[in-house]
Amino acid sequence: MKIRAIASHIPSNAIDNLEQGAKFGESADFIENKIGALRLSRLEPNEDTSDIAVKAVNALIAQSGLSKDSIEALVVVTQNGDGSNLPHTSARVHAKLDLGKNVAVFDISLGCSGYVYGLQILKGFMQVSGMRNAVLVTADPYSKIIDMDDRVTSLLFGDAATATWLSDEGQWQLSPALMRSDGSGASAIAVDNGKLKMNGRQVFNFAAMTIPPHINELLNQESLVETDIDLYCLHQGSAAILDTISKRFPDVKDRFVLDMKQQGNTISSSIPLVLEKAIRQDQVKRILICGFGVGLSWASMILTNGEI
Amino acid sequence: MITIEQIKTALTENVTNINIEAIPLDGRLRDYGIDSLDYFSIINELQSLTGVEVPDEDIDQLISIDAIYTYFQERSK
Repeated sequence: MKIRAIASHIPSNAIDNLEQGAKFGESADFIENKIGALRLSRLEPNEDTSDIAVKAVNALIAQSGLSKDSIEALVVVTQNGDGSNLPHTSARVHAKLDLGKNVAVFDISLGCSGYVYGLQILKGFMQVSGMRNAVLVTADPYSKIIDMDDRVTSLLFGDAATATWLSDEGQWQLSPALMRSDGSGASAIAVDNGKLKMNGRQVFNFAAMTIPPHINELLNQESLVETDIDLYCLHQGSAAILDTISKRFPDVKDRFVLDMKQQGNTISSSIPLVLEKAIRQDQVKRILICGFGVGLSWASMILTNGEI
Repeated sequence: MITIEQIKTALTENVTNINIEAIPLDGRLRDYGIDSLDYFSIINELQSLTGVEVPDEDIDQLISIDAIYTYFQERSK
């Protein structure tokens, strides 16, 4: 199974992160260069998770020529689904898209590592089920759980949704994913009394210490060296963490993508948002993706253009 | 054992747009533009260098180069 196309939906509704930062005495330089987001996208009033998911799938259909009738599975990665998460949000999306009853739908409960896990899960699911076309959706609007008076989280997260078409006729091959977990750090990012709490330093240290060797482990697994990768599309946690991780790869530091200025950290949507642009670049043949966060959970994978 | 030079190197490598040599050893780093995320990077690097783990509650003690030096010196013994 391969990635054939990716589309996204970023709500036009947003908050000004410079203003939000000023509330906490943070400078414009800090917001732009350390956080990395001038704008944090937000669900429109009365919009829910399934609504942005549907908009992302409709964008995928419009842009790629995917036919609704050909969709055999629809998977939604979210931890902030519609209502109380029962029923699963993918069922809501299925109904709103008016898909047929022969479509398998389910949710995956993961945060920032969810896109990589989702690709691996759906690829295997399609193979054992003999499916040819499926859609992986990411939609995890943290605005539902953010306390806007919390300095640690209110400057970081934005809402967005993406849809990825997996197909036996796609162009981008998926390597086996490298997936890791450390539940002892689960409390570092957790919801308490309905509000998100994050130990920023613990999460930063986890990513700074864990991800560089993890990337090297994946490169070794695939018998590649760091210069074989054209683009490193990591989870867009913050500009600061991406800078810290990329410094561990001085020869290819400029191949690490930073693109979160207009929406913020969009959890499991952050990788497909940058990937959507990356796979359109003709000169890009091999991409490393890596997600890390809630769990603690981290996972990475290499995407290779089928032409090489 | 950590040295002042190692602390300055960690600062230089993790903080851009600030002249580290202009910061007096007892100067409050926050007053010279070192922000919370800079602290994460610097302390993370010094932890790796020394093997000394800095708990969250101790971060506020590390207000200057001198304070960082003393903190890591005492715990590296």
